[in-house]
Amino acid sequence: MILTPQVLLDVRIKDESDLGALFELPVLGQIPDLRQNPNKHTYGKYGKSSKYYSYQTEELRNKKDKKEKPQKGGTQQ
Amino acid sequence: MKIGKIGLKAKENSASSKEENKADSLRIDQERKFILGQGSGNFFSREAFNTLRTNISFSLADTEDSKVIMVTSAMQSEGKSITAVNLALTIAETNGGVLLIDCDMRKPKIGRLLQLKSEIGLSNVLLKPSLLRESVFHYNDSVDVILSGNIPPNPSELLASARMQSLLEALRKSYDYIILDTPPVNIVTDAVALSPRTACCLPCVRGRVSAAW
Repeated sequence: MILTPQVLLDVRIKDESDLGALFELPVLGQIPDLRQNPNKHTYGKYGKSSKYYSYQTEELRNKKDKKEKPQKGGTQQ
Repeated sequence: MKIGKIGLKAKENSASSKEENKADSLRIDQERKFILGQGSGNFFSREAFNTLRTNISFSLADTEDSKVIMVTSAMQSEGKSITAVNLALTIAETNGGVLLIDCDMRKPKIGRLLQLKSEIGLSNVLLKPSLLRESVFHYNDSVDVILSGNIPPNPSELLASARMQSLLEALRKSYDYIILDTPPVNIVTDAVALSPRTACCLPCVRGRVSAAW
């Protein structure tokens, strides 16, 4: 009951889509919050940075995968 | 009694202004960390400024002269100065000389952000053009800075004057990009007066802070 008017009365611009609805101007750039801690992995939809921006070769990746996978036909004690 | 009361009020005012100054200097210290190349600037903020640089160069592709970019916003504290500084530093990485001018003669910030001090600045150059050489700071190899100078009583008239136009024309010959940090549009008319002399106006909007109306 209290939240609804707060949301309706909020006239702040939240993102690019709000700007597009207000002005017929191109958005040239979107700067992320500069106060954000770069060590924290909070990069929105892209998930953790190490996943998407690592420069590992395919061989290294395959090696890692092999290590993680259990071997077929392995003996169980 | 009246004098006593007034005296008390004056004391209170001075104390509050001191606190405000302290808070302001603290805020500037914090903002200084956001300047790219000062040990901060994570990958994503750098890339965002690179994208901004690319988009600006595309949108100003037809401009033959040196490109004069005006950075402004609707209200204060929306990130004009930090955007202007970072944009100048980012453009300077790929293109030639960049000149950053603090056109905010009412509440100048570039000097405090970049830790530069000078009594000679834009206002002095507009009054006496021979001071131009003395007013230019070499911040790094490819970024030069002109501070706002002494605070004049009529900043908007100075910025709208023919002298400002001739100054920009003279500077265009020696710089590829000129970035103007201007005061907020909704508060004073300085930026509006300057806009006809620029190739591009870059209004800054701070997400979840700037009001739509």
